[in-house]
Amino acid sequence: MTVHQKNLRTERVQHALFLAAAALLIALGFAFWGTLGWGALRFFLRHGLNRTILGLRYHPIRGQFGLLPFIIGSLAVTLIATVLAYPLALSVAITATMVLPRRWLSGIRQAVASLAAIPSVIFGWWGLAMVVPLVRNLGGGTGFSVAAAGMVLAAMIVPTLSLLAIHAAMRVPERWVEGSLALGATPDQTLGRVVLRSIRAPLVEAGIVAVGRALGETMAVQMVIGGQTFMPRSVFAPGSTLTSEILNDIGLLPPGALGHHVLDVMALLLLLAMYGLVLLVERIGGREVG
Amino acid sequence: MFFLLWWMAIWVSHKGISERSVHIAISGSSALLPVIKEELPAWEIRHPEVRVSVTGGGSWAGLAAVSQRRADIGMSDIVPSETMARGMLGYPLGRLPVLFIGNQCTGVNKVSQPQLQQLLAGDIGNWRQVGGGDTSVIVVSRPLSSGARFMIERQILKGRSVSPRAIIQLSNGALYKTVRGTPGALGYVEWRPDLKGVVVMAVGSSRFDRTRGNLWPYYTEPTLYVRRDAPAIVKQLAADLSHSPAKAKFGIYPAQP
Repeated sequence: MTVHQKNLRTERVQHALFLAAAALLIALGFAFWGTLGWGALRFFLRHGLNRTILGLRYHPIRGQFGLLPFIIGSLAVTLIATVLAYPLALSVAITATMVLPRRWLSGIRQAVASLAAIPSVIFGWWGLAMVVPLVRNLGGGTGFSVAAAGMVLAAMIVPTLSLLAIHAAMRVPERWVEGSLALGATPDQTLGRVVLRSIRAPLVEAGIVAVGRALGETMAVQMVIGGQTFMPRSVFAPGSTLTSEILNDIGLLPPGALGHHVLDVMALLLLLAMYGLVLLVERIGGREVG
Repeated sequence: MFFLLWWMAIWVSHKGISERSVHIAISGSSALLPVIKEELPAWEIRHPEVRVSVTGGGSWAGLAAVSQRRADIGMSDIVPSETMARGMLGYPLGRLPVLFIGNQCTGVNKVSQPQLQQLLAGDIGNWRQVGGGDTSVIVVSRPLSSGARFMIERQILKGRSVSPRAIIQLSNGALYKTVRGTPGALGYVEWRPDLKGVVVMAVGSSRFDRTRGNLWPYYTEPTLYVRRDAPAIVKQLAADLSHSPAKAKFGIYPAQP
């Protein structure tokens, strides 16, 4: 066998392997969507779509499966986390790339990356010790609340968001900044009209990635949100999210148990939200920078 | 390279199968995990042909997993339904006391059982109503899947639910930390030796004494469940684990004083 023939054979094997891997991934995806979709469909046929999605009462043992409080809880917690985290992460990125000496950048990136790797349960314990008492002092009540969950989540997504923002800011050519300053613009004007404007698309993309992370987080949220299944009366009241309620009920509603498919519905709602975010990222990512 | 890896994988799995041919899956109550994990290494050394895996997930999940043949042994401190129990054998471990703990600022260290019932159900909203300070009562509970909650709702609340306004914590540890750090909090934990910074409530004339823990009237009965048609080795493992000397170390007292 010649070298050329050997190479061709290796290529054919590689091709088959990659094809098999891709097919397996696609099949897994379909199986995942199919399992959840089938479970959700059976649940909707039995309990009704509107009564499930718009229902306000949830007690699986009593056959009440209203999910609206969790949907609102998920949205509220994600919104609070994003609003708190975004300016902070942007500040970190601008300070690291434009204010501090360039030689510090690598160290800052490593430090931020190490923060991003902290397991969520650690953030949960930290939230119990620090954030819950803080929220109790700020808003009264127990401190276990939608606000506490949002704050803990904000702390969790700041490192990821900062890293993405730093990478985006590093893509701005040095000569654009120098040119702007040379034309007489102040550093603030350069920041607002040159740097931020040119990285608007990647910043929005980073924000959507962070929203996805916040929406999907489970453990840390469960530990500080209070786990009540009612519609939260304010941000300082306890509540629940789709993910935290799945975690609470997974032991009560194992596969085969009556009502198990409500977990499929919750998972499907999350999956749909994530898919929407992915589409949004692709749409924004497809645009040209600037 | 790929074929070498493939061949190695087959060789390793074949070796695994030939030397350790039996696999036993244990699943269920996370409260029992420490006892089981303490006892298993020695048991596996005595039975090198058996490989045992242990996962939590809660008492309900453990019972369901055994009845649906997804696990061989189910750890549960919830009594299975009559239909479910018919196909199963139970290996009780003993009594695991459930203690009522309050935050130190409640000003109360003793309640009657009716008071406890009203406090847990959310009928009493201020500690002043039971002789304590002017602090709101904040009930901290475990989720519906918890064996301890099952016992509380059956034995103390007589079928009623824990306050719907209760703060829910998944684990014993998180619940204890929440009660310790939240003014006015009242919760319940399966006994653990490191309870500090909280008030362990006396209920009526009963006061918990760790040297005579089996006299405390509020307890769960953790049990290992196997299917009646399970292989002998599975039944043997359940029986051996139920007699583990490690039980006392984790607060499980013998059923009889």
